[in-house]
Amino acid sequence: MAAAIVSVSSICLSPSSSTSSPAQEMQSVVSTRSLSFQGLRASKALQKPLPVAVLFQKPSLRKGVTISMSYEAGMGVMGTKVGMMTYFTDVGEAIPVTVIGFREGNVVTQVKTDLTDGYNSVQIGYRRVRDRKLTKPELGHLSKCGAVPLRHLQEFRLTSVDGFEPGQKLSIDELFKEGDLVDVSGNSIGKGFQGGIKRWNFRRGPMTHGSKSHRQLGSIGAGTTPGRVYPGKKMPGRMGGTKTKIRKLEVIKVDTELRTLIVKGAVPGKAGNLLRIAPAKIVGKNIPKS
Amino acid sequence: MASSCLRQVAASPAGFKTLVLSSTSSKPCRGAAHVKVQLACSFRGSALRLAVNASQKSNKHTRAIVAAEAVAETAEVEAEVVVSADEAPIVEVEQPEAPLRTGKSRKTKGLKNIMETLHKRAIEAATEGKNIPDIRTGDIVQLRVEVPENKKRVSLLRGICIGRQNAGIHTTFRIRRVIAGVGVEMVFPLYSPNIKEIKVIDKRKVRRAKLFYLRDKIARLSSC
Repeated sequence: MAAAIVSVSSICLSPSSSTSSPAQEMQSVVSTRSLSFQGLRASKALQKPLPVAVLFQKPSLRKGVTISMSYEAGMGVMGTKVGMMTYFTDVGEAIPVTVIGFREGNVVTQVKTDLTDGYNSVQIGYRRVRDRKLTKPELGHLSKCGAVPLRHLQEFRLTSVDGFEPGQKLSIDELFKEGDLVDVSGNSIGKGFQGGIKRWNFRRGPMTHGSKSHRQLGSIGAGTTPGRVYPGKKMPGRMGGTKTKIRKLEVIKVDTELRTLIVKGAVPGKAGNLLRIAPAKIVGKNIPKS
Repeated sequence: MASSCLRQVAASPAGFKTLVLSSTSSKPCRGAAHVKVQLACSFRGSALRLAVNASQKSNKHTRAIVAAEAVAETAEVEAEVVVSADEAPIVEVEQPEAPLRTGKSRKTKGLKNIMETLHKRAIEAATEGKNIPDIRTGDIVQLRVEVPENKKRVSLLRGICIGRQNAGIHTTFRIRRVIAGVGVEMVFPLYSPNIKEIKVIDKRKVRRAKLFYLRDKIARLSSC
């Protein structure tokens, strides 16, 4: 009896799920899903797998998963920090610039679409390594698009992924021009366990005049009320070594011969650091509406 | 090195593979050279045949080039080749280790030369029209500097070079002079496009790379 209910409800749902809008679909799916689930639990005899119609739902809705990756303003690449130098402009200004080099890589390894994965993104591989450095599952994933063994894989979530195919090589001169603004993110230099002054820019106490507190935190809260320290109170701890994004760096030069990108200013990490370079997300201009 | 090369060949799938090994030795030896190579190959039905080509003699050392071909296979092949060249080194390859590589060079492998090349190119571009003399500590120099704010050309500056910092395109030098009773130090990037002309007027004998001691000395020593 319970089994019959389950199958009927899911069958009548299938035509609606393919045509209705996502919002309605969500509601209808959730309501019938819960009924069928109860039905499943009630009947001990029911050991069947999920009905076919349920399997054809959007993956994101099927498991109640929300995708939290934020959109990129455009396609980006991965690079390596090479070093810094000075660039003299025509006016005669000396500006500090960072040189970003590109190893063998920046190949599209997978294109995720709404239908297959629930969101649109392009996955890129970077930095060729020896076969032995990667596991067999990783190698299999890369051989599916015909790519060489690549160490790093990163996704760039876009509003539309037309024009990207697995195995496509991305070149920097197509994506970036001189004068563009880019966001560069990478792991910052680790500073270890640091105190409040270095980590949170606290001011230190007086060094003389009888002071006993020079580099301490000072007060960490009020009195009997609330009678506790708030979570998130800035305290000493590990500083650095985390993903940091530097926004709106100007591209000074795109050198195709040396395969470098020269941006104004500094980027996280030391020479050899993996960087993720994407077009700058500027409020009011090119942040996609999700 | 020789055996490591051969080891790589052995690892690849079966078939006929031609190997070229080269070994250099700084000790020129006379007589026949023995190249002992020990292999563990897992080919089927192919054995290693080593053919040695004539060696070349260069100024200081001789080189023996050994070409190897996988012909028929055995489980472990030990090949002894006698080089019948005139003068060839006696090389006994005992499976040397690969050169140790530190982590630092690994990170920027393949990207190292970029910085050098960029600095070189920038310096070449900056020195195209101008003639930049070699400024050393202790030189009395005279500069023509253009100030971009005023757009005037003049600004003749003079002084003794009290230090030079080499940093590729951002090589800088410090000029010191006592102007109207006040000691003035100026730092200039050597390859800045604002410096129109540099002239070395005089040289003073100094026994230091940086003449910061002039700051504590009497004004006469810093005026020029």
